[in-house]
This record gives sequence, structure tokens and C-alpha cells, in this order.
Amino acid sequence: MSRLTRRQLMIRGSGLGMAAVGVMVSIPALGFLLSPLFTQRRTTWVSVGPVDNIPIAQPTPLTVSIPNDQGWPTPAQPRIVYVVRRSDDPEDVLALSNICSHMQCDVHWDQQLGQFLCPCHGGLYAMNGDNVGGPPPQPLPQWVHRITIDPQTKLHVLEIQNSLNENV
Amino acid sequence: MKTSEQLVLPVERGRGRGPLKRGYAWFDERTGVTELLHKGLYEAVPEQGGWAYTLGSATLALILLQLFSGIFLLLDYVPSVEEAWKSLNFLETQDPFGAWVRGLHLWGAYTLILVIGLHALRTFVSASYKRPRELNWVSGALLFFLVLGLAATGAMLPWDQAGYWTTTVITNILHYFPGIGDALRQLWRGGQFVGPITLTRTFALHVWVLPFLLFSLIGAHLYLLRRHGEFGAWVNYDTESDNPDKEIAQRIVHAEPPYPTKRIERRYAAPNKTVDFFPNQIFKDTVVSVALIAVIFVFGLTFGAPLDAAADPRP
Repeated sequence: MSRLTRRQLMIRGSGLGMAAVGVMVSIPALGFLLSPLFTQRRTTWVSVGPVDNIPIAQPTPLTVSIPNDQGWPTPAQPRIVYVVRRSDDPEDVLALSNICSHMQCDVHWDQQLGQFLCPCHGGLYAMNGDNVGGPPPQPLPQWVHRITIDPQTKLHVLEIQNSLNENV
Repeated sequence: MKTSEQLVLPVERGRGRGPLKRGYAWFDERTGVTELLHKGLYEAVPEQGGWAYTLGSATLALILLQLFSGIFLLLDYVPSVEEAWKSLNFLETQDPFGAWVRGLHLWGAYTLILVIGLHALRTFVSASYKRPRELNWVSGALLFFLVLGLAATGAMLPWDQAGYWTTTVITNILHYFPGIGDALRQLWRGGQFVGPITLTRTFALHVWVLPFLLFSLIGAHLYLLRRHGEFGAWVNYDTESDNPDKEIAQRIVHAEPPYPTKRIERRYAAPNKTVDFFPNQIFKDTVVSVALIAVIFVFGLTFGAPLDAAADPRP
């Protein structure tokens, strides 16, 4: 090992010091930058309403105020839930989102086609949300949902969480 | 012969070397980065008293820390009377790293003002402000006022009780200005009372207007420093021989740029001994800046930055 001169000591010391500054400013900054990756989401249940009177085999768009899952308290966002009753059983419902699995544009039920149509790139979905045409790689995601019975009216009430059942 | 070396083009120096060296030679030929680095690093500074001259670079390091932590605070902060406090309260309660960054920004500001005071005191005591360096002092004083402006506007932004009443009082100061005082206060506030426009205007001052002026003036301050050279202190100009005039004349003849300084008494035109800025001074600068930033790092985590109750216009 060669002898460490005063000059080399100063150069290496400066380099080490600057690296220390880099580490010290990076730890808080990177933790802050990356915090969305490890912050707990705020999930809540919201009521969509009773499903008993919704027609069978007719996707019905309902607007629901869905609370934000992030940050400080802010006004809830209006979003669309497509309620699809598949049979007489009021518990046999789908709570489809209108978020296309291709590029997340808004899809809508097209009565003439009898399919969900995405206006951006012509993606098509069947009534049960299956992707049947165009670019979408996956079915329409559903809202995480459950059916509860209203104790007074005995109606079947659809509740959804501010979460989708899968990543799209 | 020195000339033969000067005739070699930078790109030819990389010939026959590895790809990194060749790449650097290519880049150097087109940018002159080596020359720039040499100009920046091998400047002569007085040999004695280097530790006292670290305060200017420490000031710059702390200003850069403020810029850095301030940019990161924009990841969360919302300049709106509805949400400013909520967004910071979210940091304080839900995002520990964000609260830490906020702590860095506050303790960095405190430390910066302290270090600027020491830097000015050092300059005053060593009489470094004398001709031809008066404008170094003047630009430094203006920089200090800009930093105070940044501190005052920064204190308003959380829109907590402390921030709200700071805003009220400081914007009210303007109305004592003769003649146009009312108009000035109204310009800052955006109206008669402190309100939403006051916050957005203060935010604009804090993140764009004042920093832009600050960094422009830092450029001027550093240019002047490099033009006249670091004065240091009188210890750097002592003579030792029986014939001080001859010694000083010798010193001036052999001085390295930027010395001898023009328009100054011959005795103070060039220090008796100089060293290269790199690595002698940069080492001392680094030690001091690292120590200060380490204190801010720890204080930012342990003490953080306070957040009062949300602003309430009822006293």
C-alpha cells in the first residue's frame, strides 16, 4: 500500500464528506419520494343503494361519491358503478367499474351493441365484463363489493369499497 | 518545450487509451470541461486562516440544501387556504419522511441565517470589505435581505396560527410606507384582508421570485470573489524581512492569479503565501459543511418543524 500523503488525505476526505452529505440529504428525500409505495391506503365502504328494483340483465350505471384513498381529507369523487343483475337472486350482482383495462378510459353500455364500448380505442366487453373485442387485455375490473340486508326495508343493499378487485 | 504540449488536441490525448478516456477526451474537446475544472479548482487562496474562510461555502451549501428540501416539499404542499394546513398536517401525522424533510427545511433555514451572520462578522472583522471589495459586501448584504425575505415568506406558508398572524403583521408593515402604503399592502394581500390570494402571492414570492433573485445575486457575489481573490485577513500580509518594501514587491511579482489585486494598497495586493483552493480549502469547506448538515439532519429528525393549530382569523 502506498503512503497516504496530506494531499491525498484531503482529496479523499473531501470526497468522503461530500458522499456523506449525499447520503444525509437522500435518506429523508427518498423516503418522502417513495412514501406512496408503503403508505397504507384508506379504505371505506360506501352504499350504492338497493338492487331489488334494478332490471335483470340490464347494466345500470349509478353515480356514487367515492372517498379518496390517499392524503388528507378531501371531497369524495363522483364515480360510475355499473350494477349488473344476472338472475332473480338479488345477491347475484356484479359491481363493474367503467374503467377500461386497456388505457383506463371510461367505457359505457351500448344498448344497440349489447356490449360495453370504450370510445378511445374501440374496446368491447360483454355484459358480465369479459373482454370480447378490441385491445383490452383483461375483463372490466369490479369494485370490491358486498350485499347487506337493510333491517327495516329488508331490501338488498349493494355496498362497495373505494378499491377495485384487481389492478388494471 | 511547452508549446509542443499545447499543440496536442484534447481528442488526440485520448488516442490509444480505454473507451472511458477516449469518451472523456471527445467530451472535453467539445466542452472544455477540464479547463473549466482547473479554473474552478486551482485558484490561489491565502494560506493562513482557511478555517475562517469556510463560512461562505457553508452558506452556499446550506442554500443548496434549502433548494433541495424545498423542491421535495412541493411533493405534498398545496398553496391554498383550504388545504395548506391539511397537507402539512398529513405530513406530520402520516408521512414521517416528509416530516423529516420539513424538519431539514426549517433547521436548514435557522442554521443558514446563523452562518450568514458569522460569515458577515468574519468579513467585517478581517476588513475584507475594503476597496476594491465593497460590492462583495453590498451584494452579500442584499443576499442576506433576500434570505430574510425567504424566511419570512416561508413562515407564512403553513397557514397555521403562527403563519397566519405572521402574514397579517408582515403584510401590514407595508401600509406604513408613505403615500403608497395602502396600495402596497393591498398588492401583497390581494385585497383588504389576508385571504386566499395572499397565500398564493406569498407562495409565488417564496418559490420563484425570491429564489430567482437570490441565485442571480449569488452568481454576482461569486464572480466578484473570484475577480478580486479571497482577501483573508491581515495575517496573510505580514512581512518578515528587514526590507518590507522589497519583500512586498517580490510578492507582487510572483503572485498567482487573481492576485495581485488592483486598486488596493500595495501592502495588501497579494498575500505572502497562497495555496490552491483544491484540495486545501475545499477539504476545510467540506468538513464544516458536513458538520452543519449533520446537525440539521439530526435536528430535522428529532425536533422536526412545528405546526400550530389551523389558521383562525378570530383572535
